[in-house]
Amino acid sequence: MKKYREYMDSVRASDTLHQRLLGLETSGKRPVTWKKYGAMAAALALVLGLGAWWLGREEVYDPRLVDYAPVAPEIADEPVPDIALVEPSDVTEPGEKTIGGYEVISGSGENAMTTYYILPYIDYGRTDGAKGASASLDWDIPRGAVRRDLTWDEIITLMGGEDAVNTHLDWGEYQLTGWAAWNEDGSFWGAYINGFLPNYNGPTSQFEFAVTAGELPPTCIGYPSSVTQEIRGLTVTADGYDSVVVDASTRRVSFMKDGYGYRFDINGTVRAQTEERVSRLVCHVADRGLGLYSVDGTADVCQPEDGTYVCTYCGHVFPTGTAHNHAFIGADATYTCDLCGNTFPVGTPHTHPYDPDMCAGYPVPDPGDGVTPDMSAPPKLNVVCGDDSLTGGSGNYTWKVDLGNGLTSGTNACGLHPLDFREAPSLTTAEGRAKLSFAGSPDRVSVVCWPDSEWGNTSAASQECLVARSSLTLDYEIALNQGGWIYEVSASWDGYGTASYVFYITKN
Amino acid sequence: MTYSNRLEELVTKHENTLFRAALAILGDAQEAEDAVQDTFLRYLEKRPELRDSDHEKAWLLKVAANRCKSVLRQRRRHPAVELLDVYPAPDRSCRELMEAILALPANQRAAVHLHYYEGYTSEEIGAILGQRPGTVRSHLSRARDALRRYLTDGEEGES
Repeated sequence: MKKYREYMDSVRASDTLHQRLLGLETSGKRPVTWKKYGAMAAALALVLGLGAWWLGREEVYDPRLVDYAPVAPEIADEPVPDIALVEPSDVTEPGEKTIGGYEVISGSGENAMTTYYILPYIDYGRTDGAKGASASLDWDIPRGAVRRDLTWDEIITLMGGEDAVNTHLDWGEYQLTGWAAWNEDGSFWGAYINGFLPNYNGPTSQFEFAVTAGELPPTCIGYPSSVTQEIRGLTVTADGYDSVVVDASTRRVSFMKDGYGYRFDINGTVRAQTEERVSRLVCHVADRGLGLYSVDGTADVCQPEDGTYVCTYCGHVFPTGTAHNHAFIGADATYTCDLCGNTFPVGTPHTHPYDPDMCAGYPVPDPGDGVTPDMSAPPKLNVVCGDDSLTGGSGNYTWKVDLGNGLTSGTNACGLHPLDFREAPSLTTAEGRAKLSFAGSPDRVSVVCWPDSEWGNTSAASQECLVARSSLTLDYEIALNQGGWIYEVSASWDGYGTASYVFYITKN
Repeated sequence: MTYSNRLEELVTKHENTLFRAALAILGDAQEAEDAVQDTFLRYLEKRPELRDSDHEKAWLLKVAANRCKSVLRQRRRHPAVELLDVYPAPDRSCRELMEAILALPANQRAAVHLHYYEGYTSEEIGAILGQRPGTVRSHLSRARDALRRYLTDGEEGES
């Protein structure tokens, strides 16, 4: 960051600005940016002026005679926000009232774009206490349903991806846990995601998000006051309360969308921030939707005109609405049931009576269970970015095959250096992540990359890429760098050997 | 000392600090100048009693950050202004670093500038930006992830 400091040292306020600043006291002019809010400022000034006149009608009001309160020991707070959070141009209908918004910058250089997302105001009704709240008996998932915990990857996929979780939902600080349940017939029942702030010592700051098929998620708490309103095309019921004991607020919304029920219940110490997170959640579900296909095989991943959808995980095409449970999917369009150990073609109805002892904490599928991949040579690597895919170019490999009778066959192959492999398979994508799937799942995978400015420079240092693995699909996944990058994947299979693959991806 | 003299002293001492911070957050020289002007105007309106130079600087930075947030709220959708055309980088590596920083979200840019340029701790940055220290650390952490290749050893420690 030395260069950043050097750059900033070279930046100086212009003489024009300097003169403008010195002339402030005599001119007293505000910058023109306030013109946009002139009408509101005028209205506000009228109200404040009347108020000031009313309060000071027995003495002459002169702001300069007011004793300014000593500045706080730390840093003085501004008494009022500089700008109204509710923007005048947006206040037309109750459902269009806003609480401000947030910006997202995408791209870089000439292509950089700043997108400002406006967040809706939500009316929660009376929030002055939970005295009228009622608690019903506890609820449970349906009899015969199977429940299991979701991994972090599954939670992120369900919520729409890492970018959505951090940027749009603002859940980056939360530690997330969750679970999902499927009915006895294999259909999706619902999923619950919990978030809490680790190492946070204040009053409770956590949330619960639930999505269930066909109806609103069950809950134990009911508040006497709630408001139903139209937000972004959804009929949203909102309620909550502000604690009188500790500095904390609870806000909750419930709504249906496309046959799924949603509930978001959050509490925190900063009411405005709590309400902002609710608005973000509602907008995210309304505008972008969740990755429900990750838990519900009947959810439309892609619904082309021919009435089929392509499973994001296995790549197979099914008629829309076909029961297709991704929770038990294997690498070759079969799945091995974790409960009985049998292997079935994907989509085969396969249910067990609910047995708490058998179903509790059942293990993650073991790679290769019920599958006999061809391991006579290094398996091929398939790289998937959204709708695009490629087969990784072959690099170095060392491979050993057991021929039986104590005989083995070994092969050592040398491929091109990745930076000399200009004909490496390539694709261009706008996706942020690439899925790495192998016909036979390796035991270890590592990935390094180089920017395409290093083509031909085989002494260039590589950068390590973080590799995540989904316990749901057994696939590996990496985050793609912006621009053109050469990636080298190194995989190893215990008992067989190692292999490397090269590909080139340009992320726009 | 009269307020005119006081203002002149304040402007001379802090205008560059405020302008650089506003520029880092907004990425636009004209908007940054407006934010700095508004900051000093707010100073004249409030005429706070600030106990020392450090307190004075922190107060002004906080007001400037508030002004920048207001400017960001008013933005809708527009291409990011090419700051580097107005203030060119001296070399290619510096330009790449600045492009990477300008590609960060505004809250991360603010945290990066106040930490790496002004030398504030995450607690102090939290007080200036009106955020919890944990949030600032989160911004710094994400920014570091994005800028890791530009960070040298020993500069990643504190947050």
